[in-house]
Amino acid sequence: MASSIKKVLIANRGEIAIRILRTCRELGITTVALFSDADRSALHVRRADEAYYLGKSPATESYLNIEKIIAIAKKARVDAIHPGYGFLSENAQFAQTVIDAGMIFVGPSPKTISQMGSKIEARKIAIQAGVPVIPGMEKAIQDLSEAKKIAQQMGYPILLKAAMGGGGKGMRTVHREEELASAFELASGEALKSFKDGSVFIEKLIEGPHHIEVQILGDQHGNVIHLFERECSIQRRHQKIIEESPSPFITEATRKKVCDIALKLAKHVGYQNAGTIEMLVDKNQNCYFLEVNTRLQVEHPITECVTHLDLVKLQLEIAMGKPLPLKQADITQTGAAIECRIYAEDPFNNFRPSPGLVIDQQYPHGPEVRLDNGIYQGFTVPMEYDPILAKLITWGNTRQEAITRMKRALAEYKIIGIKTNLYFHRRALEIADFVKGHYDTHFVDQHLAEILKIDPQEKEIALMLAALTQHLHNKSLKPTTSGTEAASVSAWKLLGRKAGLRSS
Amino acid sequence: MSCTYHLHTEGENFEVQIEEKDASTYVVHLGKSSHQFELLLDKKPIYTFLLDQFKIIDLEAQVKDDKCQLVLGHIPYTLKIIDPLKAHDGDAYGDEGSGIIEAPMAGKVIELKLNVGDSVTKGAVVLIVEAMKMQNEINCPLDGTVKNIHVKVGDSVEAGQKLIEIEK
Repeated sequence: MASSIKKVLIANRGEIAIRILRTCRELGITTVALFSDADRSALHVRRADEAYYLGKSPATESYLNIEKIIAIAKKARVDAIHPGYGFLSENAQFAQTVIDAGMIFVGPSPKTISQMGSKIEARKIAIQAGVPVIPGMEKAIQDLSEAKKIAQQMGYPILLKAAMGGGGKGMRTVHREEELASAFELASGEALKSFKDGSVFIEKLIEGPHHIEVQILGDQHGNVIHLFERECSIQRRHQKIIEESPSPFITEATRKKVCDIALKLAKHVGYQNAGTIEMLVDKNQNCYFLEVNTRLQVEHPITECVTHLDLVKLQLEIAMGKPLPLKQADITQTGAAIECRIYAEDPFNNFRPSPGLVIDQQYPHGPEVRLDNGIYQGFTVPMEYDPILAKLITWGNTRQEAITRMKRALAEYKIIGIKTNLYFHRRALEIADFVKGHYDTHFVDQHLAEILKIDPQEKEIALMLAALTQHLHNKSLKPTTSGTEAASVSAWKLLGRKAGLRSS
Repeated sequence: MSCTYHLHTEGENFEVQIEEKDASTYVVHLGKSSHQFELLLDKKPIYTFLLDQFKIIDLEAQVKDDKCQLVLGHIPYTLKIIDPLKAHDGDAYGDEGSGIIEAPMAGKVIELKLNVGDSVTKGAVVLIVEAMKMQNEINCPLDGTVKNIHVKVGDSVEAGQKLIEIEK
């Protein structure tokens, strides 16, 4: 049943397309890249063996266009398609279409993708597999007495959530039974006003939540292994920013528990290829299943760093039908790794996206520094896609060493022309709670002001340099310096005279 | 032999004095502080300075009209350099800026919240620009009336492009 893969189409763009391409090169696999109008000169296109035009810039007309991608794959005669992350990576229909066209889809079966893609279905399966889920109801509460009964069973604190809810509307936290009646009324009223539906659900409130996820791999012969956990609690609006492995928070017992949960669920669904079981771990180390990501994760490099494995290589081998080359006992979590996601955004302006021309770039280098980068000097970062530009990963013998190394690497890293979150990373790594490893998913909200604080002396230098740059600019416009001086001096004299005239 | 520049950023005004010591060395004064900057490399928009004869500073700076955008130590700053001839109007020092709303980044206009002639208040969301899969609300910088709208829904815009003009 083993079939060989000699040519792969990468149905993605940017840094992840390059990441996949690198392993393919090492395995002697020919690579096929795709590009939209905005990506004509993108790095992933320039690095690939072959590149095909896909369509207009919007993702719906390019990287999400199943028909066109399949047509190109046939034309290029590829053996397999790797979807990367995002775009079509968790689209069961796409996976099925690839298989129906006689090619290998590098990922789990369409059935698994579709089962795990539905939150309700995935939760049901998790319960069947005996995996703990966040206690909550599948149907709306009828009245206050029912709410009281359920809340008591669950144990306080609880969360009341509008059935149709979103954006925090119709949501109330209840810490004691005395608060329940008024909270129920408020949540229900708000829900009715905002969504024209007053139904309210009840859920256990997870206090001090940590986003912990476990990397799993399953082959086509029933073998499933885990590659330990990743701590991904540094996030903003559910978007991860900094990840690390191992988690500085969980105990050895919890580590065993989350890995066991992941294996149990993966085995239950007969998981094939790479996947991630996401969990919430509360401040008391209770674990709850969240969801399964049926693809390669953005943050997979930190797992590669601590396990010394190549996840893309393993994905391709599994897709070829080969049995997993290692057993659980062969896998160790060595040292510590951190990843900083480099986004094109302005942290000082509400994280506003910042596409545009990259005027210059200076890369960080050195021992145990890895940069998965998707841009280059002269490239225009398109406005149509995700703001992720690159991922900077460092490894250390200890967590402290990995952090120190990351700070060093960040200081070397320069991206000029567009705004990035490099300063955010440098500062976040200096926050005492991060250094101690005492943080949960509220970290960014709690520390944002401190993270964005600017040293007054640094600001002073910046102000001086602004004036100096203007001065140099003026000088370059007028070849004689004395002329500039004369003009500016007289301008102020003129102003003084005008002011004098006005006040008199 | 010195030049004075007036800077405006985030509601604050600063007066910076620049003395030219020689062709590439400058002494800059701001309030009670003074520093010496020696220009080592000018690869516009990238500059390298030697600060106080011992510290290397890499700077990215772009000057356009009266606006200076710079990045120092990964921190972006946007400053207005005030032209002394226009300064007496008072406006140049004000917080409100001009009534011209520019696109803060390249993107696509997905919603316009007003028409020509509408009155608007400072802080109101006037349009939404989508970029990198995020919807960005653009706020009105001052109270006034919509004088001109240069874009329509569906238009792609460049960073700095004039979108809407508001008249006080």
